[in-house]
Amino acid sequence: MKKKLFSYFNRQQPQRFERQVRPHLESLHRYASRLTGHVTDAEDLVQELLLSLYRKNIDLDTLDKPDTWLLKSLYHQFIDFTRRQQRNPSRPNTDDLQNLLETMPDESARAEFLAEQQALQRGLQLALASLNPEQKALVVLHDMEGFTLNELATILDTPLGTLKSRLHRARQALRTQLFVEPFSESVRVTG
Amino acid sequence: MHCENIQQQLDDYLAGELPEAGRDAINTHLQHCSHCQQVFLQTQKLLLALHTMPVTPARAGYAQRVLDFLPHPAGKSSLVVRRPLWFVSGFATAIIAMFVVLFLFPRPPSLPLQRAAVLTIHVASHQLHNVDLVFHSPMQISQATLRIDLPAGVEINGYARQRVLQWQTNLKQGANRLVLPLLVKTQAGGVLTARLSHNGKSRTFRVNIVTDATTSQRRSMSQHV
Repeated sequence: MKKKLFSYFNRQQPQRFERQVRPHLESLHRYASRLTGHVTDAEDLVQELLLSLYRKNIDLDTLDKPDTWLLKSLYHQFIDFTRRQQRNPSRPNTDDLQNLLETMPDESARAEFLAEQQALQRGLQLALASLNPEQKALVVLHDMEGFTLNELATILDTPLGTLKSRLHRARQALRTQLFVEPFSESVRVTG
Repeated sequence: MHCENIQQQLDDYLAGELPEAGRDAINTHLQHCSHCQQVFLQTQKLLLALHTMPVTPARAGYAQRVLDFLPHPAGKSSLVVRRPLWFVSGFATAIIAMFVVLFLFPRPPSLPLQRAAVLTIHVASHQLHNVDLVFHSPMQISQATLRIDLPAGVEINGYARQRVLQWQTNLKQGANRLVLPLLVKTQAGGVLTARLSHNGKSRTFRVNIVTDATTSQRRSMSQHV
């Protein structure tokens, strides 16, 4: 009987898991795409996450907030994913981004504001790739996806103060990369 | 208030989370300090750019791809996971033998490049044919994923009405033979695909199945891909 039940469970588990995760696939891809900066890596990241949850036999129906729980899991998966990529020098993310930039259409002539925004966003892609994964995830979730720091403190199980200082350093790093010109007054060496 | 203190509070200021006294102090400072003014404007631009950053849409078929990757036990699902029972060493005679050499790694320069990853086999409909797929690996590979997609009207004997089979398996260095007992139920034939994936790399091989009512002789084909 026990064997029969086990067999029944094994047959039902994939269908149940698919039913549970399917409504979240779009948002997972959105976050993963923001985090990795690359559509292929985003798909790999989601795939890794789902496989990991499936193997752990996670039942999303038993969770109060499956969406935020999945976001938290994706965050941790992203940290691992990035660390692995950093250990593997054959896949530099910045190369992918550079390719992306080269193929992006240049519409800068249409309006000065749009041009500035576009140039900023292109530079931003590269600047984001230079942040450490924790900083990048925070910028993505707070500044791009609109989660408040209080929400993220709960979701990521991280003290609010830590998130505030992490965000401050991340923005500072982004500003430095985007706006400080190599021969501007603030960095020019005189004498 | 010093510039450093001002800049540390700019995030809270921009988020509207500073008390009135703090906001007034920053407003006063910004009116007189061009450097902090510049940092403030840069931060505003940065936040606007981040907020309006476009999202890259998912590629077509994304949802199905990530779900297909999950292992499924044999049974009701369209995807079937089996132990790698079919891989045996060496070569054996089969009704139709197709030898496929594949590499998930860079192709050695000694191997000709002109061969395509598509082979054609001729079979008689409503008869059972053992088709051998031989995967030649230059090294041992652990936990590769092999997926077989069958065309309509073609079944693997014992797996009625299942068009997709997928499982994880280990490949040893050298020849790894997979015997597929194929039953072609229509005259239409079709294309069988075998996809082997490992560590983010994958190769797809296609077997073009052509039915031939006049075929009565057993054929053997040997080809490198």
